[in-house]
Amino acid sequence: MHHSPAGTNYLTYPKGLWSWIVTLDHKRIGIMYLATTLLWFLLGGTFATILRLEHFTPGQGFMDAGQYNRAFTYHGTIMVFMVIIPMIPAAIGNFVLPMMLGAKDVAFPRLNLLSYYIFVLGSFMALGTLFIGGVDTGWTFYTPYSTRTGMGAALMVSAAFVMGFSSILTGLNFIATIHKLRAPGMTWDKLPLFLWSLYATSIIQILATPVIALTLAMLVLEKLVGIGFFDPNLGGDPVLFQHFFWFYSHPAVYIMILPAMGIINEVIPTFSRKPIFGYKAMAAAIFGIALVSFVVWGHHMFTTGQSAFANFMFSLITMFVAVPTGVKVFNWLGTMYKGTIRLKVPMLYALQFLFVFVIGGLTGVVLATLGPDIHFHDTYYVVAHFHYVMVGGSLMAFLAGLHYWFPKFFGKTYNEKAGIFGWLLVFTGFNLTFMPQFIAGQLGHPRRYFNYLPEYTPLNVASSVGSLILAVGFFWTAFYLIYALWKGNKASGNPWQAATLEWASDSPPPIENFTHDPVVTHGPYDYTAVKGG
Amino acid sequence: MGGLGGTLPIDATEYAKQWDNLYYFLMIVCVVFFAIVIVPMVYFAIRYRDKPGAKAATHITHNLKLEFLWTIIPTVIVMVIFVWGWVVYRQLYQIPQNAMEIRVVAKSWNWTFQYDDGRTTTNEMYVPTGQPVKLTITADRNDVLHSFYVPHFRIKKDAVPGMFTYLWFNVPTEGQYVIFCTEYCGAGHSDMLAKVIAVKPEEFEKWKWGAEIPLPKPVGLVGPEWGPSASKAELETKTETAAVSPKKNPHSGLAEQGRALSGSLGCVSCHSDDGSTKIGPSYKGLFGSTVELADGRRIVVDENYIRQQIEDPQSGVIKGFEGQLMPTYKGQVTAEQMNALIAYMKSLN
Amino acid sequence: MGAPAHHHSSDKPQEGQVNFHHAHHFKNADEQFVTAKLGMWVFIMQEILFFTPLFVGYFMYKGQYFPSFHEAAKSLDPVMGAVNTVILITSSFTMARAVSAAQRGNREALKENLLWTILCAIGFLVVKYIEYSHKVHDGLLPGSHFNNAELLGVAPQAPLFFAFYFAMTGLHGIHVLVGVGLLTWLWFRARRGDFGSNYYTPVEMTGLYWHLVDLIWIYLFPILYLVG
Ligand code: HEA
Ligand code: HEA
Ligand code: HEC
Ligand code: CUA
Ligand SMILES: [Cu+2]
Repeated sequence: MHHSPAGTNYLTYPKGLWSWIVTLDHKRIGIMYLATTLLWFLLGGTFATILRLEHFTPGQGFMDAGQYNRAFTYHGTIMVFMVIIPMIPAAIGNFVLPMMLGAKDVAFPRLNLLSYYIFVLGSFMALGTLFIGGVDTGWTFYTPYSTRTGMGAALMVSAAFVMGFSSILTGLNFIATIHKLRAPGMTWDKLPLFLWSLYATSIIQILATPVIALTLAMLVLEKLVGIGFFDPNLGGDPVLFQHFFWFYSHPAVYIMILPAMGIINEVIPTFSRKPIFGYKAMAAAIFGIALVSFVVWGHHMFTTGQSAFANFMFSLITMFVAVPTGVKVFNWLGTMYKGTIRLKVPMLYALQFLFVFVIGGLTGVVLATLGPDIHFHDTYYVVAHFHYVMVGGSLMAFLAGLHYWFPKFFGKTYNEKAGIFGWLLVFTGFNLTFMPQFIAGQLGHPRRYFNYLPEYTPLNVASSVGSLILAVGFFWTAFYLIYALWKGNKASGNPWQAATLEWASDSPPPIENFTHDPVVTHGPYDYTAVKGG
Repeated sequence: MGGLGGTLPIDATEYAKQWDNLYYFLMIVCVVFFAIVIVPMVYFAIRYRDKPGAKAATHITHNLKLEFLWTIIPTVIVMVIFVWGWVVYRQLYQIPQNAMEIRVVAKSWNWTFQYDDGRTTTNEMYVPTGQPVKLTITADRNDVLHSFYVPHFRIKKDAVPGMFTYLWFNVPTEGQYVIFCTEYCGAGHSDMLAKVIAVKPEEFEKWKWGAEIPLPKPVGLVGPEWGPSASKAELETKTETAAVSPKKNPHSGLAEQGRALSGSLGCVSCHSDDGSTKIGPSYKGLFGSTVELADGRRIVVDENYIRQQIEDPQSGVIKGFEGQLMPTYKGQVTAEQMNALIAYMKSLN
Repeated sequence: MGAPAHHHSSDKPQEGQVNFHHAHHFKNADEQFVTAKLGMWVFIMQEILFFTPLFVGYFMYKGQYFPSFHEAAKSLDPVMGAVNTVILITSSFTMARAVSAAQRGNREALKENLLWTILCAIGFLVVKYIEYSHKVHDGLLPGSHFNNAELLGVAPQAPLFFAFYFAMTGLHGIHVLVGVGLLTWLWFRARRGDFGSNYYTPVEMTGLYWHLVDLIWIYLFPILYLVG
């Protein structure tokens, strides 16, 4: 039907802004998600930088307590709901998933476009709160504070509700696509691990997101009409909100990390020229993590006065998450062992992922341990932990993926040296920003503190300096990538000699992905079957 | 100086010492496993780096023995971590019988401490050294969540509106220790500081009787003392503004205030303190006893139960009192008054 | 569901069929149909989870405030609830007939059964409306709007009970309303002749949705009105 005319690709045909706005092409939708989430990343990062600048000194700097509280609320909400949750699945996943399967599109292209616009609507609602007094609840919206503070919180929570549906519909689309649109020969045991992780992620999205959606709806009702589900004055229990919130938000951290691990699963074998070590164990580990993630939410609530028995169980079960995660980490090492390792930018980011994620994960285990968490809960130790896993883990994996698929997305190559320089900046800046926060946390520095005891000043200054280096690193990265869009060299179809199907097509791909319907004859990591491999 | 090269606060209690030992072990596990991953990673990246003439990749896809090992070993280690964590943590639940009780009421944005003798202080909690202290923590129904945290003691517990939570500690050495609010509670969250002032039992006794006593040294978080003098000044200002009520009247303890309240709120018309049953059951011997409810549940009477009975009597009608209705007092009793009423009931055991 | 669908997308439509082309990214119409159905099941899964916080919250508070909830539940009208249950079960039946009519390519039966289903749904909403206005009249409103001193005296947690009552039946009511919209849309498309034995995906999917709405009510009714 719509095979593009010779010499065109999905970027150039059909032409015109309107053709993008109403596009049903998963690749274009993926690119639109990419642009949008990167824009929000810039915004969320700006709020973060403001936080760090304020923290150069204790006490009042250039903002007051109210402004500071709003700044970390926007930072957290934007980064979680508008950046890291949609970034990998909806941006990279949208583009890559059908191509890896050898399909022409996702199962429900219209639904896909709808998800995107729902996401945009939700984002604008979230930012709209800036004009009605802002929100100062923190990204966790704990009751009863959230029901008693300004009305901005109601709109913000509605925004998260709306974006939740975008996430659910994307998950639904991916599940149907993976089940039904695999190319001939693409048996389950030939499914690239990136798709296994997107599949598990989608399941979490389907099962957990509706719960938070309704919880947030309950919160909005509470705020607007005083319905009283969580209000201790009306018989409600504020702690119940926390249970519902974390029932979603814990699995949500695996919505953030599983696709990231998926990217690492593609990058490490490709740049080690070796099949992934322990394919089956890897796929099993993904599902192990996903499954366990549903029954550990109480580890965010050890100090709420929930029963000793509940604390016991939640701590115990949380421990088991470390095991499948460890399996994945060791399998990546196994993949590198005796490989032929090419230290290209995507691989460097993958190695950084390992380095940083292991620190984040191990401190996660510290937090899961009952005694230590009592001391660390709601201190900078937790802040450091989750930046190590979310920035160090998810975001670094995203950058690995962005550099890896960049030639495929845009048909251009970026400057390798500029990439390595950016990577160095990001690596240094990141660790300098967040390592001191572990120490601040050990010393009891509470989080969400506008003001802090002057004793913590040196640690805060170190962290703030780090964040500036980190910011320079991201701007540098943005700069050379954008430059490459215009001035980059033309990329070949398979510049990394990778073995998954998306590389069998041109860069950038034509409108229905492949000029000939692909048939799968070899495994996703069988580099002997690839030219130049 | 605190442990790990001064990156932990001084361990001021026995519990904190045990906590530190566990944390040292965790740090060892972390460092070892970090090394297990990162050393090979860096080594492989260099050793197998693709350069002209490099060997082609060896085709290895799995190794059952290794995979088994790296599943089992972490499993065993996390179980050790879990058990140790539980052993340390369990102590926080085992509140010593002889503990002195202090009721903590968190408000946006200050801390109120109520003593048995009826004294109330704000933002500073005097305690005797070497004596277990039990904290009964709560917040008013109209307030929001807060959290009581003393880094030197490694303890923390949330103050939940309309609920009582517990914590205890026993600090052997004198000093002033900082208290943070660690649950986000709005604009004043980061200024919601207070301190534990631990003094020798003799001094504490003097303080109880209203005497001025010399303050012990503040114990620092980063160094041995509050670091730069600036911070000292800041916390002290807070203490000044914090009104300590010196209206010490040893004859009107908290329980006595509760008795007065019981009269002024009209409880006495239905409840006796001598074991005789009026319209409702007597308070005598109530606290800590097991009551049987009309729907068959058996409940041990604690603070949360009593509060619930006062604020929502219908939620647990007592067996034998089915027809009798107690009016609800929700919204009429503040958190402090509730503490007084409960202290009064406790005093009748 | 039901008889296997015969899809001949490229051929000229036969008796009871319509002119239908499957979307380009599917191999054939069968694949498209099966995929849509899978998608719908996943959607239903998420719908069920969407309701869970309300159910969990309800049971939790009910355990905590049993006497209050018990007392408050007595002011619901089980007769109206029962009438609505009958109405919804009937509508599920007519919906199933609509789907099978669509499969057989019987356009008239399809339209007729859709119409019955719509009528039932509206009937349900009317009964709900009557119930709601009684509650409003008696001041049996959720949370801070509750204003029925008499019930409050014996059931202090009645406001919380009615918070759940309105949230649960309200959310379900919104689903019924959406269902009416979908059914009406189907009816217009059926009249236009969009469906035939080779293409009836929207009818089947709406059918699944409608059975779900019915099913949720089948849980709500006893939980709120009967076991109360
Ligand atoms: C990408 C997101 C992400 C990921 C992947 C994780 C991963 C983990 N997290 Fe984290 N977490 C967050 C995001 C994430 N977390 C966020 C956002 C918060 C705070 C929210 C807020 O309050 O605002 C949080 C908070 C948080 C808490 C609550 C702290 C508190 O508030 O008091 C806890 C407690 O148990 C915890 C535990 C864990 C554990 C055990 C893992 C595990 O999955 C880690 C497993 C990985 C490893 C263990 C490393 C690799 C394994 C090996 C090398 C094998 C050997 C290992 C051992 C022998 C131990 N996390
Ligand atoms: C994925 C999620 C994510 C990410 C990426 C980040 C990124 C950063 N975060 Fe944050 N953070 C959270 C999630 C995240 N954070 C959450 C959930 C909270 C809790 C909030 C709460 O308590 O409610 C939090 C809280 C939090 C705090 C604690 C505030 C407090 O408790 O008082 C601090 C303090 O230092 C902080 C700092 C930073 C910094 C310096 C970065 C830096 O990494 C940011 C650097 C980024 C930039 C400077 C932007 C540059 C971008 C571009 C140029 C765009 C184009 C880019 C490319 C193409 C590469 N964050
Ligand atoms: C009109 C009579 C009446 C008044 C006034 C009254 N109560 Fe009660 N109270 C009862 C009855 C009857 C019960 C037992 C049935 C029930 O639980 O509802 C009861 C039960 C209790 C219980 C639980 C006792 C147990 O054995 O478990 C406590 C505690 C209590 N009331 C405290 C108070 C306090 C404090 C006040 C005043 C602020 C008060 N009551 C005022 C009638 C009253
Ligand atoms: Cu009180 Cu934070
Ligand atoms: Cu978690």
